[in-house]
Amino acid sequence: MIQTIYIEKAIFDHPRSSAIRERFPQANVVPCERYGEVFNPKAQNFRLQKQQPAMILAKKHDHFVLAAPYSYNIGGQRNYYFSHMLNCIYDCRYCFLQGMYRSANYVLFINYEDYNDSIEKVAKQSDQPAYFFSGYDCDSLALEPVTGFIEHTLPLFQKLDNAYIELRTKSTQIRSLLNVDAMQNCIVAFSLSSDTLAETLEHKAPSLAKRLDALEKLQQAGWPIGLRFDPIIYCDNYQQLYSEFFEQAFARVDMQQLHSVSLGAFRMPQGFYRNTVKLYPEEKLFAGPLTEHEPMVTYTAELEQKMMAFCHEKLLQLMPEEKLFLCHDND
Amino acid sequence: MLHIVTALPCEAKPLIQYYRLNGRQAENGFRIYENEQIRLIIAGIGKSAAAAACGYLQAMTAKEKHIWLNLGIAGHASLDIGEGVIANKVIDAASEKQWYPAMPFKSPCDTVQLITVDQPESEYLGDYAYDMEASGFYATACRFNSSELVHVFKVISDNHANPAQQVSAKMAEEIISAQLDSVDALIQQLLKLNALLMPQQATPEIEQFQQHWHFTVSQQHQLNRLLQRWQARSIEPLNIYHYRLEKNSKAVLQLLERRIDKLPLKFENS
Repeated sequence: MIQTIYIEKAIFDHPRSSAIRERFPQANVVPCERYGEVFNPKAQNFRLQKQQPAMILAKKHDHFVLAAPYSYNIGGQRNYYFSHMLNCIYDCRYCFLQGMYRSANYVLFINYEDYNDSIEKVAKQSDQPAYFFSGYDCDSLALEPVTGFIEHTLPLFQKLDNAYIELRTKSTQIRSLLNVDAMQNCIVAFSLSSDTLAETLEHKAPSLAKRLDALEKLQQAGWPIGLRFDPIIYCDNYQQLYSEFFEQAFARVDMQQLHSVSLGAFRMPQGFYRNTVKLYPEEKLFAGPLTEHEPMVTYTAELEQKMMAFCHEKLLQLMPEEKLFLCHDND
Repeated sequence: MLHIVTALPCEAKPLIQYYRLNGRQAENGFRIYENEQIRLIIAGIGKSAAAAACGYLQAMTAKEKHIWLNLGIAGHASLDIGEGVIANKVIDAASEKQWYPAMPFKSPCDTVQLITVDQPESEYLGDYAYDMEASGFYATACRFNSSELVHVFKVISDNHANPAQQVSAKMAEEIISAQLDSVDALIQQLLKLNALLMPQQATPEIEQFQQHWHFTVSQQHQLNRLLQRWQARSIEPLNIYHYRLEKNSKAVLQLLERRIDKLPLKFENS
């Protein structure tokens, strides 16, 4: 439940601001000039704010669509991302957001039309199919009942013939997708982890079973599905754990509807990692065999290669190679 | 520890009684009352005095982080006399600077925007509470801890119908006394939040190691992190006896790291 809503004065009476206020009638509403006044000050603690994040409603002024990092792709050459929201309702201990932002409050940019204009412009100027990733700084679907962003944006992709959108999620909030016809250029990509890792590291996120249920419903409705095994986490029994987990996941996947699978080992930019360890020094994940290689923190090279080779081989026993993509952000 | 800053003795008195605070020997310029968990300072009127009091309290235990609470009376155009409120925004009227105290908890009472003025306010413009200390308190206390643990609690003492001239020390004491349940509820929320930061403090074993070997500042950081990793992975407490043969701090750090790497790493929920 949202207890506090900060609203930029310029959009205080915007219909989306009003709708969100009505949805949380008990919330304290606090006007601000720009969202950065609330979101960016130094004296903030992400871990404490995660106990009960506030919502900040803001207007984004520029940089609606950005080029995606080099290895962030699922088969396309022109990759972009956009963030209508900063921060996530889940609390995954491996997530870079907790090291990147000082505040755990959710920032929602409500000028959706400007995002659509930018996406359309980029897609129309692209010489090859353009891929747009929406779940970079937030979960694409988790707050959809509140934001309605995806419901607003999908019709744009229905009329763009050379553009794909990936909705990356751990959420089971799929009603807005099931209410419309499946779109072949919209990939609903589920971030999945084994039961054990989901329970211990993905706090507040739906269980693996619930995510697989949502995935199954979407593929039955004809939506292309993605599986994201990223990050792969090391533990003593990782071989057994990932063998069983991959089999459990693929038992639910209709290969006809499978668009892509991506695989990546745990990694985090050095600065974000140090911030995160300061917040959660007692976390077992950060007590593992990690090493700092400018500019990233990763598992030691030998261990990472071993884990990735193992998972790669296991996945190829379950799926075709052309749909498997490897992620590594040390570029 | 919880640090409470009030402007006036009449604002402090109900808290001194409720929390059974004892007066310290007279200090330079400030009256201070305390028990094992709480230290209260009577700052005097105005934002400069509040800022000075924060600095003074922090200097008493310079390296420690504390919870900070400014408690006092305030005016508001329409809120009832005696109503308790927490500031969700602090505005300094003179500089127009603004702060947003983070409240990752359910507030025990209503929240308001609070304007700190240099002279007593009699017009009560807009839907704001008015005081004379909060901006000085907030700007200074936020240098010493994170904004989730720095808050301003005010009890409405005057409004259009009952102007500030009618406020007496006795009345201020009474209306604050009547809000002690809400004040205590806020304090309990803040203590609960603060407890989440316990793992971020230095590991207790570090002192034992420092008694046996000399660690440079950089090595102290390494040692602390290694001890945290040990705690995260080991079910057994660390025994310094196993390191007794190491000749210097470098050897200790190397051995500790090797031992950590050999510890089991599983993620079972047990």
